[in-house]
Amino acid sequence: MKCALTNAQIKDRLENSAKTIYDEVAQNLCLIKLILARNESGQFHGHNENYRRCLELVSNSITQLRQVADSLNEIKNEIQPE
Amino acid sequence: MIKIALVDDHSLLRMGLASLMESQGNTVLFEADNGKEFVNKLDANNLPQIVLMDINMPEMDGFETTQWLKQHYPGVLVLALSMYDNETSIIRMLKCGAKGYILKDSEPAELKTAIDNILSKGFYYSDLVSGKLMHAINKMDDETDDLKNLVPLNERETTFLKYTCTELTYREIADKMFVSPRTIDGYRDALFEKLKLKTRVGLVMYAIKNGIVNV
Repeated sequence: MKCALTNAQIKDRLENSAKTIYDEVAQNLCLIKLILARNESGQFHGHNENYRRCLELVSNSITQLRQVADSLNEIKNEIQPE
Repeated sequence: MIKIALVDDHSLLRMGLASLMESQGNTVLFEADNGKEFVNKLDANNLPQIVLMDINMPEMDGFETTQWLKQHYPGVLVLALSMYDNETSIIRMLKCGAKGYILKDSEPAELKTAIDNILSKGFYYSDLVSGKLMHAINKMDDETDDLKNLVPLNERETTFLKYTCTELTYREIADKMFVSPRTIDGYRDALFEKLKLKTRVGLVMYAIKNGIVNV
């Protein structure tokens, strides 16, 4: 199978994607988690069931994103120089 | 009321954390975008008790900043707060002097527990950290294990090591670091001795294997 990209370019793209996931997307979700964790009076407790469900979804998404980024890094580390 | 400083380059998340800290009855003395800004903002007459420290930051990362704090203000306690849950980051941060390590997506209650434990007991090891430490200890028997080779390096040695992984000659590295070539020879020989290495290639391999530079 031929690929138009060099191995170095593939490594770069994998690394940048993993970095974007870790440094931006997952951290934005952490912020959303913090915002959700606050109730209407600004306290970090006493939120209702809907909030709890959203929190759970966000938490699961962060875990899944971390796994995706780790997989990208693993693949990147396996690519040998040409 | 606990005096806290926050160091994180993700400004929105940092502000969210500051708000959480204040809602838990703590005082946020100041926030910084990276280690360099943190060092500049630090007031020796009004030191934070705890610093919430991110790892991956531009200019001066969490490893370097924690090591700097350990050398200059050992009484200031560092709680590492990171997205990364890998063994190398956790152990390297603890070796640099962090008293605890938690993930940024931890629950607010865990963050509070971590801060309370660090102040009362001097450390906080979550299940994640304990698990990774146990795994590392079990791996210690293996002579080829990378973690055995992790030696704490000071700020100048780390900077030198990063430059070693570039195309720069030792003389050019000396210029970049504003020291004489003779001093650079000293850094190099000290690292050879410390890391039990003999060549520049060995230094580069060490830096890559331990995440000091990324390739």
